[in-house]
Amino acid sequence: MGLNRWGFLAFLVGIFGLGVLLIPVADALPFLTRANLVVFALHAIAAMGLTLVMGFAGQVSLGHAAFYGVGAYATALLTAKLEWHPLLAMATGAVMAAILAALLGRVVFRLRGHFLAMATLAFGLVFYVVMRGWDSLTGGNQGTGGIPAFALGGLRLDSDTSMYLFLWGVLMVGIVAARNLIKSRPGRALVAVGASEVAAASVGIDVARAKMSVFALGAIYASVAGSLYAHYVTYVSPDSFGLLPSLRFLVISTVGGIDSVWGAPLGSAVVVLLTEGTREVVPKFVSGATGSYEIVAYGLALVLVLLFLPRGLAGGLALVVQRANEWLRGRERPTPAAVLEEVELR
Amino acid sequence: MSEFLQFVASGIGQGAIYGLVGVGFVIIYNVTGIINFAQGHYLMLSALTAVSLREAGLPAVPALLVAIVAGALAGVVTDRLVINPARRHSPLMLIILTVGVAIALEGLALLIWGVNPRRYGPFTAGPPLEVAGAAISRQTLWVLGVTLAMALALWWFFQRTLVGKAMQACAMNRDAARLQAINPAQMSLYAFTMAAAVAGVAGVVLVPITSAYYDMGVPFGLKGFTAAVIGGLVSPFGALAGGLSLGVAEAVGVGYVSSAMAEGVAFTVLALMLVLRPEGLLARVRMRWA
Repeated sequence: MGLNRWGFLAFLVGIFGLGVLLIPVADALPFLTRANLVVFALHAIAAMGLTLVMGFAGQVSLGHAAFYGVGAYATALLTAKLEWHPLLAMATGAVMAAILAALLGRVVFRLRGHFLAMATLAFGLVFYVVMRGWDSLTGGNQGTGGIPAFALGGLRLDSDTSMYLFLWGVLMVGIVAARNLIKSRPGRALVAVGASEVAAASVGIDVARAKMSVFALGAIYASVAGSLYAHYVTYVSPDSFGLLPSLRFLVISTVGGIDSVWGAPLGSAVVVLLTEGTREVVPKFVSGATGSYEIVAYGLALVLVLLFLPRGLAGGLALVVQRANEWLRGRERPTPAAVLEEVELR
Repeated sequence: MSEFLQFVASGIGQGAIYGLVGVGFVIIYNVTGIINFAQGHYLMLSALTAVSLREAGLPAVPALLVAIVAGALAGVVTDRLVINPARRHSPLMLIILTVGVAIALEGLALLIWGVNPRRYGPFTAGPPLEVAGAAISRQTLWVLGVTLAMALALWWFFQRTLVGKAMQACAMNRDAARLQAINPAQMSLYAFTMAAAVAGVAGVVLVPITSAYYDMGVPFGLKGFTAAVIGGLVSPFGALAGGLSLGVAEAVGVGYVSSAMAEGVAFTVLALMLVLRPEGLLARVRMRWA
């Protein structure tokens, strides 16, 4: 999208307005609540980290929820037990997640893409097993509670609505940060790595380092979201950071589209609708359905979107906008210069 | 020593199952270049189908055969409906597609069979047999026998049949294979079908040992993958050997340390393999079948 700085700011304000508008929409729809909006925003922030990893470094992670868990547990233990300031606890969690990701990245990024998926899957499962087994620190299966609501000066986020609006703000910051990153020098290096590792290496980009840093950055997004999640639910247990959450982040990023900063919010909205929709519809057909059966919808959505919209919903939407523009302005034959410009923007 | 032998006897059955799942990873990876995330889910599908058919009163042999065919059909569907249409996608997208298949299968199983584990009894009733001072259950012997039969059948298929040789050619060099009028898309279909069928066989012989449950796909898939990686991901026999050693390592870990170790052993082995020797312990340059 060729928006200048002011255009982008205006766009952001518009998007924030859209976020506010979602509140009456959720109120009006029978199967949505404001709590769903909070979940939507939390998952969007965490998944944006995964979108960066997948889209801009061409790497897949099946253990993203572990970093979400690092933030959540850091906040839980530091604020509830040691009574640290929420921001300090959040920052500590983010640093720990980044270090963990960098260490994991050092090992894992020597592997080819196929192995990487399995290695991150194993990492996520190990995190889950450790959180469950390390009773004295994490409370094991029972988890750990007593986490105070997020408070910053006079601002106290103890309702769904205030939490949601705050999270929209964080989401906007995340989007701007991601967008600026892509346009920066290290960001362009990342895009190059995602396009072709060999070509990137040949122009002097340290491929391993670039991948490690984007992996660490993605972990920070997840960790911050995890910290806010812990403040919101006031209680954390391992099941929120196991395999299913990791797969959910994967679905959010992929369905939304991995080469756009808008992919994660779009994907997160879709996943909330899929989850609540499935929970609404399935019991009417299958009596006594239990467990997280919404995953059937996740799987189908993942396959269908990848088959028919490989660039995700954001990619599809961009195409629609482009076509609409062409139609409104009358079809112009693109000049060679315009084509070049577009290629460069990608 | 006799204690150790006992651990070997109890781990070797599970290990053979990991090996069979691993064989599927090897076949699909070599023929198509894809790591199929849904590999363990075919095992789950066959195992649960077999339980349902047995509960419906079908005799053992037809019930198990139909269940294996059901697993193989899931492989056919994966290839035809998902992998083949997406042939031109990047490897990243193909992996995520198989993840999608796996999630969908798991959700479907949850809706059909619910959360409770189900099982049927061992193929032959009776007390465990004593071998060199260690007790070994009759079902474990069935598992080992079936695994041996599968290994021989695979060896025969890849060494003696034209289709098997064509698949090997595809594994060596897809473009060169195409020049010999071998259709890689067709070989991909065969690979998915065979891998799913082998996993299905593993599933139906496994049920009396561990029961069948809807979320067994991921643990068995990951351990099967570990088995395949131990074998270097190039050789079905390497995967079988890898599976057996992983199964024994798990049983030893559980026996000497704690039962919570079982998961830890597999993940540690996988991590060590990927860090130290991603090319496997038994690696050779190309897929070898004997």
